[in-house]
Amino acid sequence: MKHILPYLLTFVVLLISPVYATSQQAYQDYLYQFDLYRTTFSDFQVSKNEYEKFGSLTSETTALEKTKLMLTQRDQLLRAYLLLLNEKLSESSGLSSNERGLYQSLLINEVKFLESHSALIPSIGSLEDAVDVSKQLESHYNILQATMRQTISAISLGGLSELASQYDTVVIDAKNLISQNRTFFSPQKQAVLDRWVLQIANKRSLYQQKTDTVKSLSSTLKGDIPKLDDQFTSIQKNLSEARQYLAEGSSFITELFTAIRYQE
Amino acid sequence: MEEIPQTQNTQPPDASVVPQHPVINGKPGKPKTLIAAIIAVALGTLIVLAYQPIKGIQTVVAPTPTPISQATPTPIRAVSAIATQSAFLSLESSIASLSSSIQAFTVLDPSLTPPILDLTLKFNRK
Repeated sequence: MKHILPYLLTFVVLLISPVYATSQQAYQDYLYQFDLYRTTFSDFQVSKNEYEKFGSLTSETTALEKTKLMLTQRDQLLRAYLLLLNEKLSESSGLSSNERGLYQSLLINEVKFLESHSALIPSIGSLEDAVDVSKQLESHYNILQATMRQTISAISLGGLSELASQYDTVVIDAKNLISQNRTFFSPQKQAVLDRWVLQIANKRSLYQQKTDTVKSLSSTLKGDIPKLDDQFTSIQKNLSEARQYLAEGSSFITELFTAIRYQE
Repeated sequence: MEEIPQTQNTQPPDASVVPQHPVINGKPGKPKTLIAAIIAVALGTLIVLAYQPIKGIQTVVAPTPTPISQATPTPIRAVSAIATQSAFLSLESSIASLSSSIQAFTVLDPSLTPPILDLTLKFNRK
């Protein structure tokens, strides 16, 4: 058994580490695709300017080639970003399986759209065709951006939920510790500790209100990019306030423990 | 200043001889007045010079000693019996870990900022 144990531990570590390696890998791939997109977009702009300036057949052909490359790379970039979100969702342990499944299905739908959009690009034969194909993505872009923001909000909520779960465990254990050792405290001190426990629970309630607000705002995300940005800013504000309530509650718990530590 | 020699003069003064007196500022002045003036100026200067150091000494104020406060010892609080329990110690480390996790939590992961792309192609043909 002693000989097997190191190998067993190594196996367990290898099982756990790919979870983090996957999202890191997805992030590196996203950054790589973004760099490629910047290059192809820059080439596209140069060829477009030349075509608009000279209007020759050669410049038109070059502009068409560069446009197709740029459109392909654009879809690749957006797809890489959605895969990154998917990996982050998988890593978020604070989300329930239903919630995770909901957002992952949204991401899969968007990835399918991008794949079907990419399939149209090889058949582009003119600049007009390229404009039409690009417009298909443009008309869907707001929905894509809303899905992205909903997923980001869900990932943040998952992280906060994990902290709140730890918070609840500590509060329950603290309450049990106080109730089991009431004889050590004077009646006045018992009253103070009970009042403090209520205030700690109150912070947890305020946190819950904020996270419920975030879920409500996230489910109604829609509109053009500026409107989505405004709504997302409101979501960020509520997430920050929820975190702040948890921080204040944990500070109260620390005070509670200091009071328990000393007799008076 | 040379004193004018006092000679006994029994004969009446000679009208042709003009007695010699010191001239001050182009005008003839009495020697005694001059001496007195010089002495007065000298005395006044000495008095002024003597006054300055005294004045300086008078303006020096001895520093007042800083009052030494008596340090009071920190009151020792009696530790309750609960503080030595394993449940308490375990919980204490849990809350410390939770507090640091909350402080370190980033509300929005900056690596997840969505890419904002310029989608319109806009070919302006000649």
